[in-house]
Amino acid sequence: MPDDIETTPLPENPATVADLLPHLPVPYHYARQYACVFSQELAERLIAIQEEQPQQFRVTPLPMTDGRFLIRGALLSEVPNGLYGHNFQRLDASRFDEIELAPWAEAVALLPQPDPVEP
Amino acid sequence: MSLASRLPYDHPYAGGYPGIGSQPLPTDADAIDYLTRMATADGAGVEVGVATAVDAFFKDAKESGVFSSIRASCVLAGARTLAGALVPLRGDAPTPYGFVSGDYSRTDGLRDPGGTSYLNTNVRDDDYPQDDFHMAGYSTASGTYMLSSFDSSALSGGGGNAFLCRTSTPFYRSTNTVGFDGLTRSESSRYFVRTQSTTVERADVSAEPVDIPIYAFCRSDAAGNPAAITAIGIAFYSIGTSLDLAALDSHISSYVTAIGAAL
Repeated sequence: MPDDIETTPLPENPATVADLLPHLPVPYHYARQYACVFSQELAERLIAIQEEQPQQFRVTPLPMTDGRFLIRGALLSEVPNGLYGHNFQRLDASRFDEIELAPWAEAVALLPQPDPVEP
Repeated sequence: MSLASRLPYDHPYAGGYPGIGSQPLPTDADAIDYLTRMATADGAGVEVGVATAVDAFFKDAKESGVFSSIRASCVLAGARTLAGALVPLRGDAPTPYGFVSGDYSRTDGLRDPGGTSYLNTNVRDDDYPQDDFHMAGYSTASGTYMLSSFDSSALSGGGGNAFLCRTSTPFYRSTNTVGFDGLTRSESSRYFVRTQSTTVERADVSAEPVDIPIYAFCRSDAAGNPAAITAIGIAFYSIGTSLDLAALDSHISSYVTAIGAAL
């Protein structure tokens, strides 16, 4: 979505994906401030949906050190009708309020540190 | 059907003038096929300047002999959209995980600044013979891994310094910069690394390749899953049989320069 097209003000501190539903798709530079954080159960459901109907563009929920999973908030710039629209529309909309929007820096700090050994 | 609607690129004279004019146009059949597939994915053809840069890459690669060794490749710059950029130059298309349109620059390539997105090239390390193999890429922003399987083949990007080519003993370069990097092996006793416009010979006996995916923007773990995803920017990658790295470096560096001038 072009960043210069914005019809209604975007929430300053959205708590969950449900808060952004009326605004989707949101601009890339807004969306990338956030991480979508959710439970292992929802991560497994997301993977199952992708496997049921494989699409070209896919996501991998990344495990966090606290047991939850994250995907990048920037994906919200590509739904409901963009590159990830097909599988987004197959998600259970009633559970979007279970997907927390966390500030990117805070969420990514909870990813396991990469193995320092190269390669 | 008008000429303009049939071209896989935009030409200012194609719609309303009987002659095309003196501007060079793509003529290589494989380049035109690639541009056509790209235009389908993009929803529109690219500009003539981009199209002629693509054409020059194909012609140069054929003339130098590297084209036949490029078996799985994407030019991640020049196309109008991310979907167009993921159209394979040769081989199967990669599968993107997490990339969005905002990550794509027509001149700088593909980069997730958060470092959580990657491509499965849909090539496995053992898809090519032990002693007939190459991997190459062009990085535009620093990151550790450009292309990598696990403990067999690895190509560092601008922020990494290790290279593997059918071996578990890395070659380490002394400084890290973005640009073209590649490795190739055509015999069991040695392989070659090209980085920072210099080709280095590495005496190292080859080992059997592994049945592990080759990822871009990260490496594989021992189980074949993506690991250590990095925020590297990549404008081109290629996997296939052994080739002349200096020639490929020249061709893709010229392409990146031409795209920068055209857009």
